[in-house]
Amino acid sequence: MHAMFPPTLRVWLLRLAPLLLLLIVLGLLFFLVQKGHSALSLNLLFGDTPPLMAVLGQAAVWNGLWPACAGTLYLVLLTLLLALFPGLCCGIYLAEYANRRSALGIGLAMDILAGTPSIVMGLFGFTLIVFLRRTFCPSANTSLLLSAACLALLVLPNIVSNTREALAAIPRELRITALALGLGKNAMIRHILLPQAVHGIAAGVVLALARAAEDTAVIMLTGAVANSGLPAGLLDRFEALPFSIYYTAAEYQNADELASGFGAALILLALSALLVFLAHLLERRFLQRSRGYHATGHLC
Amino acid sequence: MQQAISVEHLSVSFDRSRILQDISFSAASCGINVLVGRSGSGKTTFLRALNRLNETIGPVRTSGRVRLDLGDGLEDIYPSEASPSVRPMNELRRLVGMVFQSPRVLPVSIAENIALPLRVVRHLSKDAIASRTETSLRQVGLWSEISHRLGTAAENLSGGQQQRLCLARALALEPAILLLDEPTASLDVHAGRNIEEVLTELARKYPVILVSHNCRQATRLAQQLTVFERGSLRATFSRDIPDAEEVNALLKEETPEYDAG
Ligand SMILES: Nc1ncnc2c1ncn2[C@@H]1O[C@H](COP(=O)(O)OP(=O)(O)OP(=O)(O)O)[C@@H](O)[C@H]1O
Ligand SMILES: [Mg+2]
Repeated sequence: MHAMFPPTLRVWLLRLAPLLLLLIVLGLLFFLVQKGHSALSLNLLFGDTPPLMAVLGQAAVWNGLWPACAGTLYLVLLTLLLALFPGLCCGIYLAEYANRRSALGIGLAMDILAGTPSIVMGLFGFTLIVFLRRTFCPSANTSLLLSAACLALLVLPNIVSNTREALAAIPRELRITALALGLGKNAMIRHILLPQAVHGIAAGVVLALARAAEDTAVIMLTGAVANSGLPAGLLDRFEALPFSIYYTAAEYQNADELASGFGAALILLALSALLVFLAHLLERRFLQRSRGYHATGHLC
Repeated sequence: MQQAISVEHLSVSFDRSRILQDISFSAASCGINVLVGRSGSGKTTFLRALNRLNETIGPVRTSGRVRLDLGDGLEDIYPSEASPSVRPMNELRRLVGMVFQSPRVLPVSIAENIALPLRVVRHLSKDAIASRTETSLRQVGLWSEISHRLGTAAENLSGGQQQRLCLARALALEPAILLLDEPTASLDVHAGRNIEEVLTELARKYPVILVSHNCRQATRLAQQLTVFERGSLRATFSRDIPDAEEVNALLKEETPEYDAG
């Protein structure tokens, strides 16, 4: 290996890798923009409805993407709401409290869950509703809540394993130091270890977030529809951007409709980027606060 | 004089290998007790036995009796048949302050290094924390150096500054006993002397146990000098502290045995 590549070549190969990545991302963006830019306008989002009225929810949007945007946003936030807390707790338990055997068992279960294809998770949600309708709750129906719950199951392993690994990577010295200062185990985890692990945990959350935003297979079996307006409630059906894109791609009649599909893809990309950016912002704020860093350095 | 530390027949083993055997040791309620001994002779393990920190490191077996005066007379710190209930470990560790051989700052700001344990362990108010931070930093001679950058990362301090920050952090928690593992190893002579003065001052109120590799420092500071040798006590001097040359000779003497063993 060493003999095969002289040092300068190795450096260039290493530089090539990120360059290639950048090229691919730029290529993808260029492709989307080229195909979708003609459709990008307020009209694409809101149709014939006045934008302000639509955003305030005072007027329904029938031929725009705004309900799908709102639906995806609700879906992602609800998924995180459902998955974040149990995921964190499970990760902390596995890293800090579980003995070897139960850690192995739960870890295996998590791996199986992580390997579940999303279409299987969608079928699971669908079957669950069918079962509920036949037994306890005849009025049960596919809905925003069901989709979010299935997606939460799907992204749970990301959050769990990232939390677990971030905690496990913290050096032993830091734990011993914290214990020597008189912190109990819970206090040590809460005040020393979790702030240290926040970067890794945030990476898991971002991954979960992106997966929830793009997933189509789960939601099309558990509550996403092509035309429902803004989601009316947790137990109602909803529109979502990835489903709109899928639907347009499958059923478009003319070039304009296809372009609006690409427009929707661009909007989904922007929405995901915005959410990821927000997650990083939150992480930074948290780190600044928990580590007590500030510029002037005076006691406060 | 009143006893603050009483250790009887202490043995410690990690993974079935005996690190300390049959150590009996006592220390008065004030004054500096210096531990000397070759590298690997068990000084750090002995210190960690006094705040039960060995138990955080791995599977460890401790036998014998350790009693400390943490405010209301000598009390057992390891549960035994005679005294099944002992003080909770986090309380014990708060009361037995420790400064490690290598500086161990928390990966937070300088101020937060002192404030975090005070807030979490002692539940102090913001004002009390601020004033105690200043007092303890002044005590270790760090205030004038770093008071303008308390909000910056503690990891950016120099090694010696970090070590003094660790001492200040331990002092701020108001311990009953201080364990110091070579606190001046990474300091220049001048700063080292300053810390020695601080320690002498502290030793009027606290029992201090200090590990030192510097024979001169050991004899200069010691009210009691204990020599460790391969996990056992070789000698304890409390009245006639030998001078540095003698201590040096004492440490050197064991070399052949040490190599052979
Ligand atoms: N966790 C552990 N597991 C196994 N052996 C250990 C452990 N900690 C220490 N030891 C062993 O115990 C012996 C004493 O170690 P200790 O750190 O107490 O020495 P020391 O006197 O402090 O040495 P130094 O002056 O170099 O700091 C060493 O031989 C060391 O290898
Ligand atoms: Mg040591």
